[in-house]
Amino acid sequence: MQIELTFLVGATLATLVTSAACGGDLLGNEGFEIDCDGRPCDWKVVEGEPERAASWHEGDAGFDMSGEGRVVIEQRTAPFALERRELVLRAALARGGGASLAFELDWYVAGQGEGPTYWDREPVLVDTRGFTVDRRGVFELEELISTPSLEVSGLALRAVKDGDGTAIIDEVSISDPEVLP
Amino acid sequence: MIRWLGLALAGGLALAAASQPARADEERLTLTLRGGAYDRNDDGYADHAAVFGLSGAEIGGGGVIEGGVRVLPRLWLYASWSGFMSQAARRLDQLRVTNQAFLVQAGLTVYRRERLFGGGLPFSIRVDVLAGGGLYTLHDDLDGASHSARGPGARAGSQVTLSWRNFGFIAAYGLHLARASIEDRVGGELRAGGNEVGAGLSVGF
Repeated sequence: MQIELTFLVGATLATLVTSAACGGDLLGNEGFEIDCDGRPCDWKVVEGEPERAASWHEGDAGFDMSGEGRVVIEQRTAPFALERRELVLRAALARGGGASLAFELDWYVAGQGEGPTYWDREPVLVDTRGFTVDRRGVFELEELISTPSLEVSGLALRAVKDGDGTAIIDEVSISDPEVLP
Repeated sequence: MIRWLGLALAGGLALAAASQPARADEERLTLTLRGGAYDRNDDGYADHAAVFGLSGAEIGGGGVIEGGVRVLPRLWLYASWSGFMSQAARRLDQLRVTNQAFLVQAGLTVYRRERLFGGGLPFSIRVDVLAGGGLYTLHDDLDGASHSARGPGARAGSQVTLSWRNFGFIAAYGLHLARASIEDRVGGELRAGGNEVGAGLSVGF
């Protein structure tokens, strides 16, 4: 009876982790709407001082990285399990002027250290991949990305803006390409 | 534009030539209630909203209440109010865009035929062309943040009424030109002008 119960709980957890990774979004707070003490939960400003107030409309939360200089925001997500290496990164972007915009993705496997969270247990960086956004204007970005292996279970996603000009980012998600946004 | 106006004028003249002469007992007052859609003139605003997950800001649904009084044979004076609203939802957010118009228009009955189907059935058909102007308003709201604009504008349109005794079914089209507009943060603009189509009921006395 105990073995059956253990199996049932294990199977349920495995299903939940797998379905979260394959069917849904790897990221949290994709629209920057969930607020944690005045900051968007799950997102961290790594460099610069971006205005977080609004995106295309004053009433829509987003990350406005416009202005001079370099701005980097990051979200870390773990653990997850992948069924396929090909994923799609989607985002709503506004880019203009002399602003450049790029996405960097650090892929990790679980570490052997001690600690309460995945990131405390010293995960190992497998590879850093990324791409530069070429398009200008207001548009929906849809970029196929690949993971270095199916064993990766942690991701640090960074949006990097440099130069002077408009750069607004919102609705960021990473999911199975076959799952419609 | 001039080509379309020319075509409309030619069509109106042809209809007028085929129309029955005005009778003294034709209705003097009409009241119309129409439901329909309004396609606002968009210069990026609605497209930007769609990119950020809020589709459908360009076209609104709503209605028109219009009263008319005949001042000369086949010449009408109309006053109307119209209001249209669109809503776009994404998770817990909702973008709501509304536009209203308060208009005074002159109308000309370019075609009218009684006993439309022959016999003793009291069916009639009437085609009117209208033009006028008034006040336009445009308003949006997203999660408590809003923009508003108001200003003058003009409408030109036509309508067909199929009546049985005092009651009728009406279908109408209107082209609205209005300068009032709202802007988003990334250079998009939505104007109060646009194209309106609708259908509804009318009553005449």
